[in-house]
Order: sequence, then C-alpha cells, then structure tokens
Amino acid sequence: MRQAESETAAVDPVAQAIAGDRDAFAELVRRNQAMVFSLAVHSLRDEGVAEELAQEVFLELHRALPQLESALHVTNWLRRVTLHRCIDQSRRDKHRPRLALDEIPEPADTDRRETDFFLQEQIRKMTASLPERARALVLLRYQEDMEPTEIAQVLGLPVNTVKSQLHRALGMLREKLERRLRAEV
Amino acid sequence: MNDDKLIETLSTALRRREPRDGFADRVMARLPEQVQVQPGSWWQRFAFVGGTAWAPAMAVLLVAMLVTSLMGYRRAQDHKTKVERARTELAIALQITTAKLEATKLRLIRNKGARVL
Repeated sequence: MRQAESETAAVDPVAQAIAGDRDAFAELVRRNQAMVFSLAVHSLRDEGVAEELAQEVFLELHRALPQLESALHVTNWLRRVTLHRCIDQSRRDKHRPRLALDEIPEPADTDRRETDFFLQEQIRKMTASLPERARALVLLRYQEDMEPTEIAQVLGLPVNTVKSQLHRALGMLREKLERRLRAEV
Repeated sequence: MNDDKLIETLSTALRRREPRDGFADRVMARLPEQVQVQPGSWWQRFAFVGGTAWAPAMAVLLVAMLVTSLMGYRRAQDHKTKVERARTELAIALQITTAKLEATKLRLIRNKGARVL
C-alpha cells in the first residue's frame, strides 16, 4: 500500500499536497519551478529578484492549495499569479534605470553562435520592455507554448482579444528588432 | 526578419530555465510548520472536518436562529394577547347591547300594557 501511495504521489502530487503531504508539495515545486522562475526572469531581467518572486509564488500556492482541484488548475494558477506579481514588481521598480536598447553593447566577435546569442538576448530584453499585457501574452505563447484559447482562459480575456494583442505584440517586437539591426549596419 | 524566423528566435530565447540548485529546498525551508489537529473526542472530530473549525460558525448560526425564533414567538404571543383582548371587549359590548335591548323591550311592553288599561 505504501509503495502504491508513493507511486501515486510521484505521478500526481497535487492531491497529496492538498491533503497536507509536504513531500508531495516539494515535488509540486520541483515540477513547476522552471516555469515560474522563467516567467519571472523573462519579465524582470533580474535573476535575484526573479528567484525571490518565484519563492513567494510557491509560498502563496501552499496557502491556496485547498482551493485548487487539479494539476492543470495549479499550473494555470501559478502562471496567472506569477505574471500578476511580475507586473506589481515592475511597477515598484519603475524608478530603477532601465537599460536603453541602444546602450546594449555589441558582441566583440561576429561568430554565428555569439550572433545568435546576441539576437536572443536582444529578444529577451525587448520582451521585458513590452507593455505588461503584451509581455504576458508573448511569454505565455512562446515560453509556455500555449494556444490563444488557453491563454484566454488563464488571463480571463476573450480569445479574439488575445489573438489581436498577440499579433500587435509580435509587430512591436519585429519593429524594435529591425530598428536595432538597421542601427548596426 | 520574417515572422517564422522571429517566432523561432522568440521560442529559443524564451525557453524555460531552471533556477539555482536547491530552489525547492529553499521554498520548503520557508514554509510554516504544519500544525496537526489531533482529533480527540467525537465532537472534536465533528467540529474539525476538512481541517476547518466550522463549529464556531455553526454555533453563531444556531444562536442567530434561536434569537430569531424567540422574537417570532414573542410577536405571536403579543398578537394572540391582542386578539383575546379584542374578543373580550366585543363580548362585553354585545352583553351591554343585549342588556339595553332587553331593558328597552321591557319598557315597551309596560307602556303598551298601560295604554290598554
């Protein structure tokens, strides 16, 4: 019976965590930590702040567990709460000087791998600089690989709003990137 | 840059990253110690079903229901008293009226008798 119970916990720790099993909750954290941390670090661009925020999200999850019902419910709850906390953190940090895009140093080497890394770094910085809603949509779509219908459910928005705002966000990123790349030529 | 290339770059740039090693341990270290409610007698088990002490809420609800019932009973009693009083007054009024009618009837009979004589 004990082995079966631990197998159940390993397969679905949500029910066990809701029942108060601390090991199951720890497993829940391990399964979702990359998602929560990545949403935070891609929003805030500061690993220390992102980790602190991610820890607090899981502490809040522990308190909210009795209200949650399934693994999917937990995952969507984590996404929603993390993004909201990132928005709050961004607003608190508004006074901090943000790195302007034209101040980003260019790579010394033009090796393709570094160029790709540079491009990706540009994309990450531009994503973090998007307006709050656009940033949330881009992260849920391209980090979490969610469909617009799923994003609409998590954020409580109409599907058509998600699609149009995602399209607009992509346009903003493309424009910023093209301006940046033209400046290099 | 076309859309496909941009999306491909976005997906790569925004892929998930793990936090520093030991993240889950750091979270668990910040969790409060769990307070286990040891069910004792049957009423304690009853009161703490689901880990929530709902008995106090039930007690408040019962008291509220009792007070409401008592107020309702009091109102009903007051109403009953008023009805009884009204009934008594009506009976007295009827008695007075009947007595007066009898007296008037007697006078009429006497007057009729006197005229005949």
